[in-house]
Amino acid sequence: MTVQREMRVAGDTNVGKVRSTNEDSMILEPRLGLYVVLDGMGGANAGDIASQMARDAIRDYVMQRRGNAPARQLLEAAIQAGSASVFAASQANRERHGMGTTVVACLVVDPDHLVIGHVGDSRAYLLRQGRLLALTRDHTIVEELVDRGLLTADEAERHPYKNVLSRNLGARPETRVDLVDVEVLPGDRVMLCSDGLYGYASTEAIQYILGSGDAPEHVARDLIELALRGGGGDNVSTIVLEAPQAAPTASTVVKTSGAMAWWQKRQRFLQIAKDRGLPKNPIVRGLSPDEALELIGLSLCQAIFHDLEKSTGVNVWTFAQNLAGGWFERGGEWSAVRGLMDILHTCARVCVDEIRSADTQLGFLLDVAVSRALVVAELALGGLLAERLRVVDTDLIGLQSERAAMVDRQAIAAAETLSEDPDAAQPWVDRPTIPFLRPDRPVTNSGVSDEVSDAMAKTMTIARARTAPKAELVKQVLTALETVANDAGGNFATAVLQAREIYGVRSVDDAGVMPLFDALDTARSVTASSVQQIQATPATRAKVLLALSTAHQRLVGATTGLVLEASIPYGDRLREVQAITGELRDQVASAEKRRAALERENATNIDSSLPWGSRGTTEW
Amino acid sequence: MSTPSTRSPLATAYEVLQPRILQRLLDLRATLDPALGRMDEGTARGQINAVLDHLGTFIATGDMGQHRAFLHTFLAMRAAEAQSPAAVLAMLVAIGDTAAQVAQDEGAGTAEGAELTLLLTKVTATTARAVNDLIAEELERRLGTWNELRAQTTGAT
Amino acid sequence: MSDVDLAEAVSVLRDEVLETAEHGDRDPPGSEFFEALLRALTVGGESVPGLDLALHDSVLRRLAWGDSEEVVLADAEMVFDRMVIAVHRALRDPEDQLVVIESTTLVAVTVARVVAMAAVARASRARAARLREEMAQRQLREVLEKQKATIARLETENDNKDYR
Repeated sequence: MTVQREMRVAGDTNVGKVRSTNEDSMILEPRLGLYVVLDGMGGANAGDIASQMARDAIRDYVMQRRGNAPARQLLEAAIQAGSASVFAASQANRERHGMGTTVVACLVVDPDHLVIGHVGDSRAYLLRQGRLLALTRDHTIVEELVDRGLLTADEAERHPYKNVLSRNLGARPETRVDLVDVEVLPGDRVMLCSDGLYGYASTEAIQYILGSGDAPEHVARDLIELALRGGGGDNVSTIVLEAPQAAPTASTVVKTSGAMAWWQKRQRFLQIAKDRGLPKNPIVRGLSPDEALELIGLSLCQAIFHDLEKSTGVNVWTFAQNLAGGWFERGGEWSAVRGLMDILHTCARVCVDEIRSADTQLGFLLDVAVSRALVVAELALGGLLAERLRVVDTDLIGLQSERAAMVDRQAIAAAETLSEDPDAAQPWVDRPTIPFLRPDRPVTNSGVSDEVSDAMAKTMTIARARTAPKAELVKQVLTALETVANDAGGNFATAVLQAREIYGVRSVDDAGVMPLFDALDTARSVTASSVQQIQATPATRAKVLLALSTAHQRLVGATTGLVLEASIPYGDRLREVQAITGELRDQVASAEKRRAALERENATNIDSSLPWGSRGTTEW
Repeated sequence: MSTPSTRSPLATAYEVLQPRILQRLLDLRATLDPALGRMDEGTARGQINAVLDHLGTFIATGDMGQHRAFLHTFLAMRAAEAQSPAAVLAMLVAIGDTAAQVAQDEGAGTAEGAELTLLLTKVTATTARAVNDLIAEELERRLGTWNELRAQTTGAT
Repeated sequence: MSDVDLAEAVSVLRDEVLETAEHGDRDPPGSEFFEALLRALTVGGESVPGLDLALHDSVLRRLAWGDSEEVVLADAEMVFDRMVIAVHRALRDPEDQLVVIESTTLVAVTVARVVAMAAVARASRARAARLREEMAQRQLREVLEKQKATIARLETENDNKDYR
């Protein structure tokens, strides 16, 4: 087997299935040892321009100074030059204001050593011995909140702002660059990519494609294809670097002799599968025994064979996903999948034992490799189960929220009935005021003149006439506006009282709150246009609009304050429940310590006549 | 009737290797689980060592019931920290893989090293299988709750 | 005045409205609202979805960074109040005053709507998070029960072993 000496590199990019322009850029400069992926942002092709400007600035900087500065400093300074270039261009042209780009760059120091620099959410990964390791952390607002302990990783994944960057090139003339030194071992692969890849492909799938034995150019192409199959909603770019391989190892034996020995056992595998009842599993109901054995048994044999050949797990992964994914979609139960996997596991076990009895060394290596393949299968199944759990959780939360909303609506209806009884309702003035209103704010309307008051009355008459008869809420808002605008006292208290009247009792969700803001918007729009229709001087119209606009702004502010007030209990209830969870976790952690200690004490008291892994207690 | 058993050579070999496995995992902890990456080393050490200690006991006893107990507790605790079961599974597999890798590196050329590598790989497979069964059980429970709630909500409307 | 001239005329009021003398020129409180107002004036004070989205994003970004909804609202109110005073002083033509007041109101109420939507979304997330916590609690309680049973059994076995 020839040993590869040079680092092999390839890159690929695609506009994706949704965007019309590719705002990603790349640098592939083997002479400089410089490899960069950039992802531009900004409207009207500005992103395209930003990424290309930064790309050119970085490449020129390194070209002029390579060999004259240490690698870390050189890469950081080059990225800073990119940022300065984009910033200057964005300031010079109003249409390009706000444009920017992310960057992830790799500078090869020598075949054993790289430096990675990045700003934004383009990423670098290291694949070592089949495991994918992240070399960078995204510069997003949500990651910063996770760092501060304000969000968990899972909450971050669901967060509406998860893609909002906290750093990029071009927002400022200088930016903070994160740098990491990477020691590269034989056979390692490093991948640079834009968010168009990882946003549309699972980490596991990326790991397995990167870990296949294929050449970097095929891997880069397959990764792009993976992102496109996942939706391709963004531009996608990737660069794959492969470190030189070392001398042949045990893994080479597995790839060649091991794979062949496994393949030669396939008929034996199928025989055992038949004896163990694979054709009777519900998943293959309706198929003849031979069809069932071929579809399931032979497919797994082939998958393991190909994975052994290439030291990857992608084929077994795909097999397990297709098997269980299709079954779950048809409403199938887990027990059938578990039963089938146990049969296949037993078949693999027996085959490997037989190989081992003929060739101890080869059998041992295969035992490890095939056990690993079964781990991969379980990982794939675990992913599917977790996804199903997530979907059921979302539905459950939706159902429980619906149920809670139903209870709320019943409570609201009861409260409204109660509020018709003046003795039962809490007086408005006794309710807490809105915290954020500051009475010391400058009063912009301390009363209106008679002329303006008359003009305002005419405006409101026109506005009411133009409002649809059934738009009750809009009419209420118009009345409130007039009251607030005519208030000589500075609007604040009146606005709060009027807002409470309009707000009434409503649920804190889109269905409860948005109609109110829609009505406020409609009222604003109709009053603004009604002002134009009154017979008055321009100066008077301006004063009328000022009075009504100020009233409107106060009313909207007060309404928003009521929404904030109404949302407070949800946060409070959550904190109460979180405190209970915290206590329970402490109790479980403490009990776990006690249980583990007793388990260790009890370790000498086991029944060793039973096979290892089959001894057990009954509570669990 | 159970009889006292002496600690197996592989369990002893694992115990000797445990500090090196721990150190390798601490070095890689950000890739195991971002939450582990953010913790100070002392806290991360405690958490990872709890898993490794349990693996040592499992290797010594082969007690599947206790192994499920540990995994059930581990999953519940991580769920309370809003970590998805897929992420927990990936973390446990990564710990097992790393342990097997260290056993292979440290025991290269020895029969004991090879056997320990194989055992750790099989422990990882057993762990993955058990975790999936636990996830499936929890899924079953939630589907049951969903069906009940659905019936109640439909009945009420 | 033309749209562009009006936007220029209003842009010189920036220092006064945002109190840059007190807070400094770089990102004083309320600057994103002032920028939104200039954008609205550039297109004749009409409500344009693209401009609303920019304001929407900047408000959400502030909230994401941890500024409270109350502070964001208070800043918008402050800009509104100062603008109407400044406009009354700086613009002679009442028609120009009308356009600027309308645009200023539009920006202020857009901010209020975005803040209200964010509060509603936050309440919804809190509701969902509470339900998730309750599901996690159920799992923890189940585990705790089993742990207690296991501990009791192991303690008994160990006691019996000692006894023998």
